[in-house]
Order: sequence, then structure tokens, then C-alpha cells
Amino acid sequence: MSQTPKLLEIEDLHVSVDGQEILKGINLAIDAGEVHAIMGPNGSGKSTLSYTLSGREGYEVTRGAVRYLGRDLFAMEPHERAAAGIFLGFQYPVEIPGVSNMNFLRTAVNAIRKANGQEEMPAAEFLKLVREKARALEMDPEMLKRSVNVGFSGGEKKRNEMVQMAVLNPKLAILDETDSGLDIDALKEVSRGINAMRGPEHAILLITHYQRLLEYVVPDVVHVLVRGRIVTSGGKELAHELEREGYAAFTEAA
Amino acid sequence: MNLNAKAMLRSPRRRKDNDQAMQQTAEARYISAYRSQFDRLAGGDLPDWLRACRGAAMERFETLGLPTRKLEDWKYTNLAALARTAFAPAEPDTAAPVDLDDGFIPGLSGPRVVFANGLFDPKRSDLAGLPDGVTLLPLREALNTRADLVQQILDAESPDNGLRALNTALLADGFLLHVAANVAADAPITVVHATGDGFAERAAQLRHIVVLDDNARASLVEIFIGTGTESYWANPVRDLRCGAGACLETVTIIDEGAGAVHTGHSEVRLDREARSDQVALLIGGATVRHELRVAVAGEGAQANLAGACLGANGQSFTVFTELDHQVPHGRSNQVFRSVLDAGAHSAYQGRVVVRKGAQKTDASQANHNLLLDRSAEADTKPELEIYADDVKCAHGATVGELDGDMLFYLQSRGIDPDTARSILVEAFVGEVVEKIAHTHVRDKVADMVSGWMKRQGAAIT
Repeated sequence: MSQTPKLLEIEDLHVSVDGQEILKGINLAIDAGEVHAIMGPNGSGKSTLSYTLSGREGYEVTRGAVRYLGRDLFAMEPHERAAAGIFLGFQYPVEIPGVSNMNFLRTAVNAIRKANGQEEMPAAEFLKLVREKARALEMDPEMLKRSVNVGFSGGEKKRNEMVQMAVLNPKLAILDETDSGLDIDALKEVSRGINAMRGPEHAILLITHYQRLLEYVVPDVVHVLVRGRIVTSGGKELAHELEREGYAAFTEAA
Repeated sequence: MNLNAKAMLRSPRRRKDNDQAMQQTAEARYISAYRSQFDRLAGGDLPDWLRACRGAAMERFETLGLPTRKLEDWKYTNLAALARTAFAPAEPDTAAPVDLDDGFIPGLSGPRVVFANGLFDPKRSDLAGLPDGVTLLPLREALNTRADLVQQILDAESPDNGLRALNTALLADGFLLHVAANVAADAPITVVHATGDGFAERAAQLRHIVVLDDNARASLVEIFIGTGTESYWANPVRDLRCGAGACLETVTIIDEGAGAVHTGHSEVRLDREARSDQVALLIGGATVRHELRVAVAGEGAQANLAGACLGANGQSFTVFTELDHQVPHGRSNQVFRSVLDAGAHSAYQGRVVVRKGAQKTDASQANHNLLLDRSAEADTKPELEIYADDVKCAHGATVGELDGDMLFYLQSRGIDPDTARSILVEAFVGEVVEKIAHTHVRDKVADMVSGWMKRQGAAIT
């Protein structure tokens, strides 16, 4: 048996927000190279799970453990989690007036490199990398000069998340409703960005309400999250079943 | 928020109240200092007009006294230190050498006027290299050679300001900049006010006069630096006159010593189509007031005022502005921002007056405050007095903390919390910094902002 730790192991995770228990015992393991999808109705705890994993304040872990590459995830600050290779794609990317996308990304890249004992990336190399990733996602290079997400449409914000992900090259990408608010063309482009991340070194946790993203990014495993618990897991066909039957059957089961 | 108003919004202005014994004592000491020094002050040996002008100013000071917080315009500026100590006028023997290293802007060459411990420092000033049509003189010299200009300004004294009156009565030094019609003095002129040791309980009463004739241009960078922790008072007064179509840019960096009181006062007059862009950074000093009174006196003139206050423990900053729109088609824009750490205070009092007949005035003012600690305090008071009925006056004010969502977003990308806070603060202040047109000056101010953030970060941890 291999002793290599799983990339992510979630064990009996209970999380409360403002004293109310939202996650009621999540168990989940993700290996490098895998794409998992978590589907669930509104209020099932999907975003709570993504924020808990990325370390946002206000999410109180009352029971259970999460290990990331064998380390206690909750002993790590949000920026340390990012430096260790965790990326959160935001459902609502934040606007930051006065901070250019380019400077933001350069600061992030170099902070992560520094945390990993690497030298800063030379400016020319960085510029080339960002331009290349932006081009691959068909993002207008002018947008790199603008303030982070300020004045971006919903689709542009999500595309910007994908550019950031491509540049930061995480081991584990947690994508929180990355498909919400996208028209079909934007959905395809964003999906292309996600698929470009697939590979033996990368794991992806897709969190979504709808099945349609999974048409373009086909998951290895689908989990159904209802009322803070994973009620069933299966292959990609589970997503189709959900699309047909709705969440009602699972809601009753929970 | 837009306000198209026929009504006038006025706030009460109270006359000064003379019931404070301590204050009277202090004022008596200022008056006796004036009498004992009269002959030694600049112009003491000069024509009757100056003697008369200073005597009249002293009488005004005797009537007006030091401003107190009972006056609406001084509500947020605590000048108790001025009443406690009678700051003696600067004298040549107090002008100990001052370290000027931080007083200059890297990369910025060109003329410079240096004042050390309240007096003109000819050795370190360099008034050469100015284009034809540009006159830059120490005030003492200008009193002789350009009395016409100086007298005109000093005689046009506004009647209701005690500190300005005291400056006129005690004025020791300063400079005159005159730019002839159609001459562009685009290279910034650096004006350094440096205060070092040996200036404790002294006052610098400097008077600067800038006169731009029609279509002239000039750019000034004023720097106030104090290297010690002693208590001193800087009371600089500037009179800035822009003729028709003239254009004046100023950047004022107030980085006084930790024990300093700074009460800078500027009066700006803009003639037809003139333009004035003024940016200030208030960062050093115990009590700092930056007061700008702008008369939009010619049609189509515009004033753009901006400033940032960066305050830490015990510091108190006031930005006071008055935009007096006297004629139609004037424009004014104000952007002031404060970042305050534990125990710091700032106030913005911005009054926009649109006089009867000043139709089509477009005036906006925005004041935003960022509190880094719950013990910081920001007061903000935009005021409008509108007597015309076809105007656009916008104003907005906010007081808030760093945005938690923004901080988390930055941290989720690997940026540590201290750096994330710095990035957000620098971006917040950046809205002001980016208004500085000259690259070297802008870089200097940006460096001062990031240096300040580093010091605050170090203080927290």
C-alpha cells in the first residue's frame, strides 16, 4: 500500500456560521488528477464548504478534520493555504479599486514563490506568462491593466478568476459556482480554462448548482450535498440523473 | 449625491469668545514678542507702508486672538498648544544646521528655495536657472525690489483670520514667485521648509507669494520636514494669484516633526479660465491644519484640490477648504482621503459657496476616511451655501474600515495579511497620489505612503 497522503481528506467535518450548524459531517477524499463535482440545492452548504477550505473568517469548525497533503489544513492561514497550492475561484469575485490586475497577480505570484523558497519571477517572464494565459482565455490584455474586477461584467470576472488560476497553477482548485451568471459562450470559455488545468498534478473541486457546467467539464466523481451532508456519490451519470429528477428525491432522503 | 438647490444650506458661524484667561495670556505674549522684535523683523527698516501694514495686522490679531474651537471653522483643530506656549519668532541664531537629506525629491532638479528653522537659507537655496520672465526672490529682497507686488497682496488681507494676521505682523521670511504673461515655468520649483534641533518653542512665520500673470504657468513642490521631536510652530501663509488663463500646480508635503503644530493657510485667486491643481500629503506633525481658500473670481476658472492624511497615534489633522464661486461657469473638484491608525484623528471641513449669479457652477467634493483601528476618529463636514439656482454641486463622504472581502480575496491568492492591508491602503490613497502630474514627485509621495504603511505594520506586530 502506498503511504503517499491523499491531496485532500475531509473527515466528519462540521461547520457552524453564526452559531448555526451548516455542514453536518462531510467526508470526502480527493486525489491528485481527479475532478470532483459537488452539486446541491441552494442552502445545502456548498459555499460554506469552499470558504471553510480556503480559510475565510466566520466559519467555525466544530468537529472533524481536513488534511491537505497530510497537513492539518486548519493550522494554516488563508495565504499559507494558497502558497501550498489551494486556489478558490470565487462565486462573486471581489472588486478592488486602485489595484491593477497585473500588480495584484505579480504580488500573488511572488508571495507564493517566496513562501516556497523561490526567487521572485523576473518581470519579463511574468509578463509573458500572464499574457499567454490571458490570451488562452481570450481576455482583452487591456483588462490586465485595469483595477481588479472593477467594471468587469459577470462573465469577465469569472474569466479573470480563470486567468488567475492559470497563472498561479494550483494543486487543488476549488471552484465555487464558477458557472453562475454565465451565458453559454462564457461558460464554454471558462470550461476550457478549467479543462486546461486538468492533469495528473492537479485536482479540481467543482461546486455547482446546475448540471450544465458538467457537460463541458466532465467530472470523475459527483457528490450530492443536501442539508450539510453528502447524501450520495457516483460517476458523471449521477449529474444527469439529478438534472432529470431534481434534488427533491435527495432532499427527502436527507 | 447631486444637489440642485435654490435653498441655501448654512451652518452657524460664531464669533470668537474672549473668555479664556489662558488664551489671553498667550496672546499678550505674542503681542509683546512682536513689539520687542518689530525692528528686527523683515522690513523693519522699510517704508511706511509695510510698517503700517504690520501694525494693522497686529491690531487685527489683538482683536481676533488665536482661533478657538468655539469658532465653527476651527471646531476640529485643537490649538491648545499655541495658547500654552508662546512660540517665539525665529531668529538667525536659532537657525542651527538642519539635515536636508529627506527634504528633496530624488530625480528632481531645478530651482530650490530652502528655509531652515524658519528663515531663508541662502547657502542651500538655488534660485538660478529660471526662464526669462520668471522672478524668484527671497521675500526680504522682494520687499525692496518688488514692493509693488508684495504691498498689493499684503494690503488685501482678509479680515477674519487671527493666525494670518499674526503671520503678517511677524513675517520673517518667505519668497516671491512672479511669472510674466505667457511664460511657462514648467519645471517644478522645490520649496523646502526644514526644522531641526534648536527650534523648540519657536515659530516659523513664513509668507509666500505667487503671482502668475495671464497665461503663465508654474509648478511648486513644497516640503515641510521636521527631524526632531521638539515642539515648534509652523504658520506658513501663501497667497497665490492666477491671472487669466494661468495654470498653477502645487504639491505640498507636510511631514513636520513629531512635536510640531502646523497651521498652513493659503488664499488662491483664480481669474478667468485660470486653473489651479493642488495636492497635499499630511503625514508628520502633532497637530496639522491645511487650509485652502479659493476664490473662483473669473468665469471658467477651475480649482482641483486633493489631499491625503496618514495619521498615527496622537496625531490630529484638519483639512479646511473654502471654494468661493463668485462668477458663472466655475468648476471645482475636491478629493480628500484619510487613513487613520490607532489614536489618530482627522477632520475635513469643506465649504462650497456659490454666490448669487454664479450660474453653471460645477462643484464636487468627496471625502473618504479609512479607519485602521477602532480608536481612530474621522470627522467629515462638507458644507454647501448655494445662492444660485442653476448649479451642480455634488458631495460625498464616507468613514469605514478596510473591506474584509477584499482582504480575504487578496489572502486567498497567497498575499499575507500585512501586505494585503498595505495594498488596500495604498490603493485607497492612490486616488489622491495619482493626481500628482510630475513623476518624481508622485513617486516620492507614493514611497512615503508605503513607508508609512510599513511603519504601521511594524507597530502592530
